[in-house]
Amino acid sequence: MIRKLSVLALATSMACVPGEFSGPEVPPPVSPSPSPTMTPSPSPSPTMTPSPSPSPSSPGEPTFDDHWNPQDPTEQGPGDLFPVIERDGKAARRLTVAQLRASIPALFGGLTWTNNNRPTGTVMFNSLSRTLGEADYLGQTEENREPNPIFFKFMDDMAGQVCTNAVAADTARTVASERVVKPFAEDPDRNLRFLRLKLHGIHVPAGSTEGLTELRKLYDDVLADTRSADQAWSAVCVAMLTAPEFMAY
Amino acid sequence: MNTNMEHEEIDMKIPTDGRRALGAAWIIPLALLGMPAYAQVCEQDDLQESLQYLRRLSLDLRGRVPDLAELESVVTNAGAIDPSIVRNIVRSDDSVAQARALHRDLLWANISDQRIADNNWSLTTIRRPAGQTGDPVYFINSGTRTRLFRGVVNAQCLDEPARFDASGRILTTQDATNANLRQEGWVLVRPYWNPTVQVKVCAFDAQDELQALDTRNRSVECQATASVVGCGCGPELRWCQSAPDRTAVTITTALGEQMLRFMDKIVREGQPYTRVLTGREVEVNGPISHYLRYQSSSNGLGFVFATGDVNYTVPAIPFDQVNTWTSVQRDNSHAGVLTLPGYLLKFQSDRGRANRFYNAFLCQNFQAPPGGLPAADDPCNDEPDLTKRCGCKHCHLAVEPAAAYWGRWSEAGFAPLDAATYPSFRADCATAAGASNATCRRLYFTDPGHPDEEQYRGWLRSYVFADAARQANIDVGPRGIAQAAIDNGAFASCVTKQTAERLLARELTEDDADMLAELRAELESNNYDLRALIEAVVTRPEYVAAGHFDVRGGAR
Repeated sequence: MIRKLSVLALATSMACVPGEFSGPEVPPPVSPSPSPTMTPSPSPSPTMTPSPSPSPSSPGEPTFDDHWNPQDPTEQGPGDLFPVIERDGKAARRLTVAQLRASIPALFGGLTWTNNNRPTGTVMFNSLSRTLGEADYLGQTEENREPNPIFFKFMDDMAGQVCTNAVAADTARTVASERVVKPFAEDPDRNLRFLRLKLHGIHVPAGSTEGLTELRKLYDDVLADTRSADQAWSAVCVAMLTAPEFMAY
Repeated sequence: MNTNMEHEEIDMKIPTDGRRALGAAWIIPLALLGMPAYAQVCEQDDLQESLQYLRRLSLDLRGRVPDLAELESVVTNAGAIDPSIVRNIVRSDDSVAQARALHRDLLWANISDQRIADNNWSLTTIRRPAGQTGDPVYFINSGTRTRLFRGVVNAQCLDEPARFDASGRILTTQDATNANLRQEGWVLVRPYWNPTVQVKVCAFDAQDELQALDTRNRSVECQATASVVGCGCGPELRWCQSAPDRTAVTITTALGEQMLRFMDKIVREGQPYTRVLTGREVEVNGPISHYLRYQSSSNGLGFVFATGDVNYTVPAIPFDQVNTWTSVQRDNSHAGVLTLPGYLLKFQSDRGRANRFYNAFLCQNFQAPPGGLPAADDPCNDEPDLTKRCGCKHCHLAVEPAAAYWGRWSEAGFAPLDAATYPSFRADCATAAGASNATCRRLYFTDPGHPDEEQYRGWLRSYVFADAARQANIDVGPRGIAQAAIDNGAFASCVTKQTAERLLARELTEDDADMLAELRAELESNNYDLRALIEAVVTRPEYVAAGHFDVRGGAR
């Protein structure tokens, strides 16, 4: 549930803004639409606006006006004749299985998630289609796009396999520009900027580490523990691939 | 792909106060809508907005994340997205695939689990004792056929070459322990599903005569009978399905694909989207052609009721040409997707077809009345006419007239019921003898369960309780409800709503009424080109600004 909320919160409020990897700032709660109509009301509805005056029974606690405690509207201060009706233009949602099926090979030089880690094995996005929520229009007629624990368990599996294989393939490539995960491995911050743009669609300007500090710490920690840059880049790749910035839009 | 690109700091000298007042997120939509753009130099947030906009666009319309090169071009252009990028994405082949996903959702386009042949027409392979191996030998494992051919239910042939007498009759070997069991051997056949190989088939099942004599010496068509000893699966086994080779699944998959291809073509070619409901051109591939020519009539009325007479000339395409699709023009009894087998088999009853039409093309759902239905023991439930029965009438006053449009298409099948072959009333079906006639039992009303139903004995089922208006609907067919939905604007409104909701990932509310009206006008002014509507949605502020959209007209 926590993860689900973070997915949605990020995608609705934060995905466009560079931030720390550890997660977005939680936006202020959006008040529900108070009225289905946008016609301005001549006076603010007493049920919509908390009274600034304290309740007699609970000093200091704002309460709503009611007819037992009549108040003079002129004492309520200026009202907004055009109450703000905030709503999303487009709601956030989890990537579909089909989007993952198409995106992973596009991002990782043709590599995808396969059975038993074999290049010619069954594509797991197909094998686990129903489990991951894809509709088959026989037993299930609507795709389940809930970012539930089962989905993320398998996305961890997917990211682990794909990232490990992609980094290993990169290491075998002699031309740096052909690498798909670590073309700038000698400059970790630059490489993190590359990955942030490629995987999350977030630009981090040169010289800035905004949104990169946690990733850089992860890279450094794994490198220190394992003395393997490949393992460090794999860990970073997994973290970014399973992050809400990738999994939601 | 330029992976060496250095991501330099964007020069952010400009933003003016006026631009601020407009709201940063308006930069992109204004540019896209052909209005004066401020997008040449953007703030950092604007750049991120543009990158996320491109990501949304690519995922929604191409089904994948954007290329790195595309993202880098946005950075290089300081957040400006060339409108041609949007248009190219909207007009890409990938966007047709995404529209297909929408159609799959609307039509539940999968009938691959449906059986289109009964056991009398389904080949399987013989069972061998444990440890014994050999080439598969095909036979029809149905009680009717095996008893007819070998004298015993479920008996298979011997795994040896068949023997014939001088006149070509199949010779059998009597079993040593069961005097009733007489078994033949196998013959080699090039099956229709793979003519490049020869397979072993039990000789009786492999018989390829087109006609044979029954026990009363009458000549019968072997394609339509499973109860004559001289009839088998026909030349190349053409009348039978093969379970090991999944021929039935190949056919049902093709029928589902046919429906989606029909929709794809309309979207890809920018044809008026109304043709989804009225178009008559359809494509046929090898499996569909083979099924319609050789197999659809085999099962008669007792199973899926299909015939090769589908109101168009079926092109002769070999079964194994799965990827060969040939266009044909159906006659005017057809109505777009509404009379395609993929639709008629997925939604098997007339009421089911009408219900799906309301769901998918009118954006309306039938729901029980507020307060629910009367108790089951309420005497009002005895009313046989659903348009009058308490509770039921809440929906069926609309369902029954709508269902009537499919009154001349077979339920649990897709055969058209033309008036000449299937008159609205058959006197013989109204008799006691008619009640045991297969055609009467399948298509005509023979078993009244209420005095009010007596008057409909012998009538085609769709005519039961049908008033003059419903009878007119039966006569005009699905084209009638399709044209009505187009003419009264309900179809355009629904298409607009579905498209917008799918792209905006949320249900629309009354607050969106103006947007919907504008989008619908866009659809209509572009001759119902679905991709023009999609482009209109993805260039609106609601989509561009997404979570930062503010109803007052800017980014929040």
